[in-house]
Amino acid sequence: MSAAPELPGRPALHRDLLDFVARPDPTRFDALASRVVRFQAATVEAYGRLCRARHDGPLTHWRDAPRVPTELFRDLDLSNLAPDEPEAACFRTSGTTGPGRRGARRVRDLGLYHAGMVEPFVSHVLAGERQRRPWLCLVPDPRDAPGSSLGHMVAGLATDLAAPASLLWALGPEGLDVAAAWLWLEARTAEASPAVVLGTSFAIVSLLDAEPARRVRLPAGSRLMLTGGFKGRSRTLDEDALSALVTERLGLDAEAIVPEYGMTELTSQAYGRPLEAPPWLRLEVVDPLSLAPLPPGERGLVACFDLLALDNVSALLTGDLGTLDAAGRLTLHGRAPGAVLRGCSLTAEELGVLTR
Amino acid sequence: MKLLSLQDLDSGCGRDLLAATVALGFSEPVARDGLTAELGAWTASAMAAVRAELPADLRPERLPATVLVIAASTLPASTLRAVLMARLLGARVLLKPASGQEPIARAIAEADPAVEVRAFSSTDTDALDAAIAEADAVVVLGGDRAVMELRARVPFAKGYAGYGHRLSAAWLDGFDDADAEALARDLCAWDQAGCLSPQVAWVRGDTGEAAQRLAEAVRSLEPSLPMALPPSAAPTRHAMRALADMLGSAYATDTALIAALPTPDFRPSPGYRALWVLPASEEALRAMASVLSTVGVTPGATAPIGGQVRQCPLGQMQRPPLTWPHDGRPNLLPMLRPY
Repeated sequence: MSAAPELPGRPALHRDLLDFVARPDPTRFDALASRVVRFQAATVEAYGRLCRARHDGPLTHWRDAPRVPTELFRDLDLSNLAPDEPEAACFRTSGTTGPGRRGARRVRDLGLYHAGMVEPFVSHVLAGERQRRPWLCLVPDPRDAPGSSLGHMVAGLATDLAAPASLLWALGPEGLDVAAAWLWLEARTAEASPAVVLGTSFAIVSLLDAEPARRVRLPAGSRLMLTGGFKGRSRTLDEDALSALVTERLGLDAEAIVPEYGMTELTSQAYGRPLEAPPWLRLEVVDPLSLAPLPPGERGLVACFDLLALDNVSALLTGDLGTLDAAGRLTLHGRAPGAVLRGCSLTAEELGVLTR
Repeated sequence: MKLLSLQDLDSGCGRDLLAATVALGFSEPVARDGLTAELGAWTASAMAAVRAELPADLRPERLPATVLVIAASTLPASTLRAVLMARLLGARVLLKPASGQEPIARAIAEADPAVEVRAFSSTDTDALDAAIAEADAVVVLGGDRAVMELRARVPFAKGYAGYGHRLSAAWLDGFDDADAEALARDLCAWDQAGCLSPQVAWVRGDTGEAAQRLAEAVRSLEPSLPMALPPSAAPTRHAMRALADMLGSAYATDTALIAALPTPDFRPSPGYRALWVLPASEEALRAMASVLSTVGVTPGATAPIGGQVRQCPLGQMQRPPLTWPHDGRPNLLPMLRPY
């Protein structure tokens, strides 16, 4: 297949977005976001229809852009690629947060993805240190799971920041390689160089639970990037309990454990405790019913506007619950619970079991 | 029949039943409308017609002395009907309500001393087995898993009837304002929580126009049948509306969402008065045959589906006659002691 043809207006917008990432200027955000929304309304067919359904006239401000519930990536191709156009990547959701199909996000090119992922990671997870370090990756290896956006992100970061000789991908098609991961951890204790561990909460707990008698003290300056939750898993821990477990078993204190918030539907990531978004990602918390933005401290649904999701949709409504602080930083409170239906009607979940 | 005292929803046990139903989260008018529809079906002639189901030569020893009704997850109307059927056989009723629905059971027991509330945790298997041992027949209203698990616990020497969760739909062949009004009533009854509530409407003709007309009918009806959407139901409502805006058309009212799509395949509704309007397709309808309870049809129309699926006029979906064979089965015979 040949490369996808360029869309009118995209080269200039792409260039300006790369420039924004290189030299973030909050005063330019609104204008750039409005251009991005208009571009998406014009090029992502389904999103254009949504915008026209919600607005009589043209969209003039990004805050007016209709938010797309992330679960709709299961139903629709929300990209500006024609069905037969080649994509640079197709990321798929884990399929653990609801019944039915896994969601998919087709990505036209990965330039913006790569441009936006390094600095926030270095700043938050590596505390600004760019030296190559040993990495233990408890996320899907993109060679085995090319649809994993998390695996793709970690692989991209590892290319720039991991020490190749001590880079271990311990989550493969057969599951977690517990033996190799513990050997890697124990090897680090004989070294002075700080290490980096990256994984989902579930993978970390699985690793620790698999060898309950083993523990290490990773070198000073080591860090753990923790992402995801325990979607659909049997054993879950709250954040404090998980942090205490990691401190006890890996010798990392709470400050060395850095949460990451990202998703297949997003190009950018937020990091920290509370979560801090990079300049090109805006996080909001909205009222579940009215979708109106809520003031700091009030709990609601998390909404995002991701400038770098140029070829998909920037304005997203997630199924996560959160609160913002006065500085706009986000604290997550898990998934929004589904409504409890009161009667005897067959639910989507029950129907999913019947038809799966 | 002492249970008939429940028909007065403004005093005594009827008032308690209404209050208990409102406590489940229904507005008072919706609770009153739903209970009135069910209790209004309890006429002397209808009860006689149900009893006529019994064979003339039925040996008295086959009648159950005690029936255990397990209302694991269902509407008050279903619980009421199950209790009534057992009482039509003259049986004492042990009523095990779902968690949170104990006041419903108490109101029924208040009306009729032959009904005894047996409230215990669904994980208390000792209490469950004791109740089963005490009964000659067991009736289960709940999810398919509960129905299957309880079937396995009930000895074959006892009568058994299990009613799992089902869904319903409308089949519209031609659609005028009167039909829209009737379907709006079906949608708003019990806030669409019942297995007789339509989740989709298959339409021959313009789906967008039908959706718009239905939304207008709901707007007229909802002031008299109010509903508050719980915040927990909002995310799926937003997703449904966005999908319809992208692929078809969506019409929101103060309480409902009517969403038209161009493809006929069944889609589950998120509930709380959210209805998909889809182009009619016999194939799509038949694909749901195994889980369909009721299909509401426009006057003169017949939905192309057979088997045990109930077909009724629009406006009557939530008002099945007392003689309706629930899920295609007789109402009284499954409770008889087996030979």
